[in-house]
Order: sequence, then C-alpha cells, then structure tokens
Amino acid sequence: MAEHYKSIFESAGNKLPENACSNLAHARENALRELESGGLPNNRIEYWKYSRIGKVLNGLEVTLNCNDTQLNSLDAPAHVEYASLKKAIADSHPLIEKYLGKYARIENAGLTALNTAFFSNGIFLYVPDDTIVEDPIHLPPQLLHADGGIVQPRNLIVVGKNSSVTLIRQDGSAPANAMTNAIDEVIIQQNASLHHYILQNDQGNSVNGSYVQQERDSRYSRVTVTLDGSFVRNNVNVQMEGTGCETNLYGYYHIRGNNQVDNHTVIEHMEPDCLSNELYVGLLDDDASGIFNGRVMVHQDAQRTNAFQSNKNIVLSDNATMNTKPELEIYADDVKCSHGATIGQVDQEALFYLQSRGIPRDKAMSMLLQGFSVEVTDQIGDEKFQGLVIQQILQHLNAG
Amino acid sequence: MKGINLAVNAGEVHAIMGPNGSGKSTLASVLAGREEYDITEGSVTYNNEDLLDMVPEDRARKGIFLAFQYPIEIPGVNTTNFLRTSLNEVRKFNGLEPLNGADFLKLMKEKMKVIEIDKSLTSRSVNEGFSGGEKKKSEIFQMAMLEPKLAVLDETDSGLDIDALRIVAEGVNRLKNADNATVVITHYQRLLDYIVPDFVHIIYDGRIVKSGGKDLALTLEEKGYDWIKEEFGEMTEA
Repeated sequence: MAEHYKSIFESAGNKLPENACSNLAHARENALRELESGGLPNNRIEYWKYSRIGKVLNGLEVTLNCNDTQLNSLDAPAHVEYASLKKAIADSHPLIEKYLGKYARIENAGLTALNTAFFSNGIFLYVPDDTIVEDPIHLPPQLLHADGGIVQPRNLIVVGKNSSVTLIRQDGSAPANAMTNAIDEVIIQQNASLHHYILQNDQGNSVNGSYVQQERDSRYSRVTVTLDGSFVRNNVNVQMEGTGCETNLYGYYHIRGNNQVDNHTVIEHMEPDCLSNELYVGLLDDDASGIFNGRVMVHQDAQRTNAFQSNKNIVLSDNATMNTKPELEIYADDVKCSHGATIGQVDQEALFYLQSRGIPRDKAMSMLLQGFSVEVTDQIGDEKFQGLVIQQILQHLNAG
Repeated sequence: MKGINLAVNAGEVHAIMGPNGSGKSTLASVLAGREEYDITEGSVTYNNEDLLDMVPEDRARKGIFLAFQYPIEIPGVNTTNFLRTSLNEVRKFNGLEPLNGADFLKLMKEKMKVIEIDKSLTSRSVNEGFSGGEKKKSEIFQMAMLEPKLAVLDETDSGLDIDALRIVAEGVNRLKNADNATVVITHYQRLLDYIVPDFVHIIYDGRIVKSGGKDLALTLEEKGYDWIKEEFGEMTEA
C-alpha cells in the first residue's frame, strides 16, 4: 500500500507545489511515512467507530486533478492577504513556512496524512495584526473534483494579533464517485477573534478536518450547519495554548434518506482561565444515521477552566439512528465543566399547546422542528448569512 | 370522570371548584382535546356540533380556548410569530383575510395594554424563562388576541401573587361580553373575589356534586372541602 502512495507521489510531478524552504517537502515525506505505517481509517479504529468511512473510501483513488479556477479571482478587502495556497507557496510566504503543516497532526490520522502528502491547492488568508475586517469574507467552496477520486483541498488561515474577521463558506455538491478530504489550518494569534460560519448543503462525500490553534486571549466561534450530504464527517480540533481564550462551537444537522453526518470535536484546554462552549443539535429522519463525539480535555495546568458541552437530537423515524458520545477528561482540580446528550422525540405537550391555539398539527410540527435549530442559528453574527441559513433550514424541513 | 352535567350559555361565567384530584383539570383537557384521554361515555355539544369529534386545532378555530394550568415552554418558537400564526390560522378557518404585519402589531399592542403584559415577553420564545405570573398573564394575553367564544381557565390563579391575580382577573373581566362564555376552574375561592361567577359547580370524585350561585363559593370558603368530602364521600364508596 505504501509503495502505492509513493508511486502516485512520484508520478505527480509538478502538480504538487513545493516551496524553496524544505519544510513542505519534509512534511510530505513524513505524511507518506505515516500513510505507510497507519494507512487510511476504518471502523476498527475507535475514532471512526459507527462511521461508514470504509465503505466510502472503498475503490476510491487519490486524485490530483481538481477544479481550482475559483481560486484565480479571490477578492480580498483592504489589508488582508488572500491568495491561492499554491501562489502563497510559490511566493515562499513566511507564514507558509511558519505554519503550514505545523498543527495538522498526522499521527494516527490517515486522512490528514493523505491530505498533507497530496494537497495541491486551497486558500491562504492572512489578516495582519490590528486589523478589524468589518464585512464578512466569503470563502470559495472547497475544491471540486475534476474526475472521481479523493481530492485534497488545503487551507491556511492566520488571524493576526488584535484582529477580527468573519469567514463564511458554503459548500455545494460533489459527484457520488468522489470524496473531499479537506484540511483547514487556522491560527488565531493573541487577542484576535474569528467567526467562522459553514453551511454544508447536500455535499456528497466529505471529510472536513479543522485544526484551530488559539493563542492567549483569542476567540473562536464556529457554526456548522449540515443539511444532508451522503457522507459528511467534520473533525474540529481546537487547542487553546494560552490563557484567557474562548471557544464556541455550534452545530445543526438535519439528515434524511440513507445519509450520514458525523461531527467529531476535540477541545483542548492547555492553560488556565479559558472558556469553551459547545452545542450541537440535530434532526434525524428516514434511515439516516448521525454521530456526535465531543471530547473536552482539561490539562493539568488549565485551572479555572469553564467547559460546557451539549448534544441534543430528535429522531423522527424508527429507522434513523444517532450515536452520541460526550467525553470529558479533566486533569486540573479547579474547573467547572458540564456535558450532556439527549436523544428524543418531538415534545407532544408542545405540539398540543400549538394545536390548542388553532395551528394544524403538521404546521405545529414544523414550527417546533424549526425552533430546535434556533439556538444554533442565533449564533450566526452576520445577519444576511443568518437569513440565508434559516431559509435553507426551512426549505430542507419542508422538503420532507 | 363519571357524571358531569353542565350547560354553559353565551354571556355566562361558570366557576368549577373542587379539591385536588377531583377531575377539574381532566375536564379542561377533555374539552381542549388532549389525546391521552379516552371518552368511554357521554357527549359534549358545542354550538350544536359534536365537540369530541373535532381535532384540537379545529376546536380552537371554532372558538374554544384553554388557558393551561402549566403553560409549556417552547424554546426556539418566537412568541410574536407563534401568535400571528395562531391568529391567522383561526381567521383563515373562519373565512377572514390574514392580518398583515402592521395590523397584527397594532392589535397586539392594543391587547398588551389590556393585559398589562411586558413588551419584552413577546420577543422571547413561547413561555421560555417566564416566571409563573408571566406565564399565566401570557395565557390571558393569548386569549385576548384570539377572542374565543368559550374560554376555559384551568387554575389560572394558582401560584399567582395578589397583583398578578388582579391583572389576570381584570383581563378576563374586560374580555367578557354577551357573546362569549367563561369556565373558571379553580381550587381557591380567592379568585372569585375578582371574577364574579354566575354559577358555581363543585366537582368531587369525577362528578359535579353541587351547583348553585356565587354564594356556594362562600359556603365552600367557610366550610372547606372537608364538608364536601364528608357529605359526598360515601357516594363513591357505595
């Protein structure tokens, strides 16, 4: 198998960008070695239990062909450096050398290794120090597949000290014989703030890995809304390496048919006085299956940590399944942490209440289900995008 | 329940009183159409129609309103949107045009004044985080918006301090007219100092054991429910 990846790598030629500094070449070598020893994930690995990753990967080959024309016309607000990753690499941008591959840990992470070995493009975005970007930046969707196979978009986002920015990404569909294996590396420097909103609508197969590194006093707020997609796996890894950080992860999913949506989050409290807050809610219908795995680690030095986590699900059909696993690992002794998960049905009392006010049952049902998403959509700070997301959630509800 | 004979006419206020567990709330639930109850015998006729044959939403659209004893919190459903949907569903059913946003807000403002309800409540989720008093006031506010023909108030007075009780009662009194009727279900005689009933019924062990004018409530106040239990207790044992 290892030989196999090596030969693809060797035949890739100039499709894989390299920089003058050897850090990227080194990272690729390491990644190939990791692939060699660990291979790609399957269900026997705890981290991929319940996932249908094996089935999705079966028969899929790495592809180096992807459609990246959308990266030629990136429109950046003043003061923001925004380019294709390929260009940033070619230019030997100092941040590429400093950060690319630094936080996307490949150990026991076959797909991250695959991406690191074979990524060819994506976006590079840098908000310099002391820059407040008023309007949100709409990132292009992840790269699309030119043929079938596994494509590896790679994005590097750096928010400089004391800066603030909102990033929005809307991902569309991909062909059935393909899979997107995307990695975002996000670095939020001291006292900076990033609002990150992601809408995944009918995505095909995708694994989206985010590695978020937070320096002291930084803030990261993310909302991920997933409306179907035959197989969607989101891995969000946040490391708060300094004190005074705040992390908010919110998610909503509504899955139908035979689709699977899987949200895995890891939040690491490394230092004292940080706050993390996590809420994922979802609806599962038909034969759909949902997975939530939220891991919060409070390291020994992380005193006075506040960490809250909740996952709430409504199962709408007898055949739908939900597997949820909140995990809390605490090594400090002065912390305030809570976690919880629920899987239930629509509240019959609430349904009766609405009916008793003249609202027909099906409409009452749809009001309650929409209400279920509000806690999450309320967290989208950009009004225009919030409106769009709410409208798509409604559309998706009514399509059933 | 086993023996409720009750006729309520337009323009009347009926009080139904009884000790805990006597069937007061069951009666309210059956009238509103709660599904958990099986009706094995008897009938309820509402404006010459079989009420028991109607789904809850149709009962509401035809003018029946239940003020809940414990109004449920519905996170994520905005109170104003809920009220507008509710009112327009009722209007649609009765062949009226839906109210547009501006007209609806105007009506809402008007009714909010009557009930002395705080404006902030309508921008929040239905009953979410409301105090006990706010929940009950919100019920009466909804009643004011929907202008029902028959309002059933299920222990709306329970858990209210005297100020909230006065506001709730005044709201009910102001909404009263010759075309509508009110059934007030209560455990406490206190409410009837504020809402003066035309008839008082005492319910015990699933039946109405005594009916009379408002004086009956005063007797009850004086003698307490033990008097009813003593007088009618043996009936149930027999």
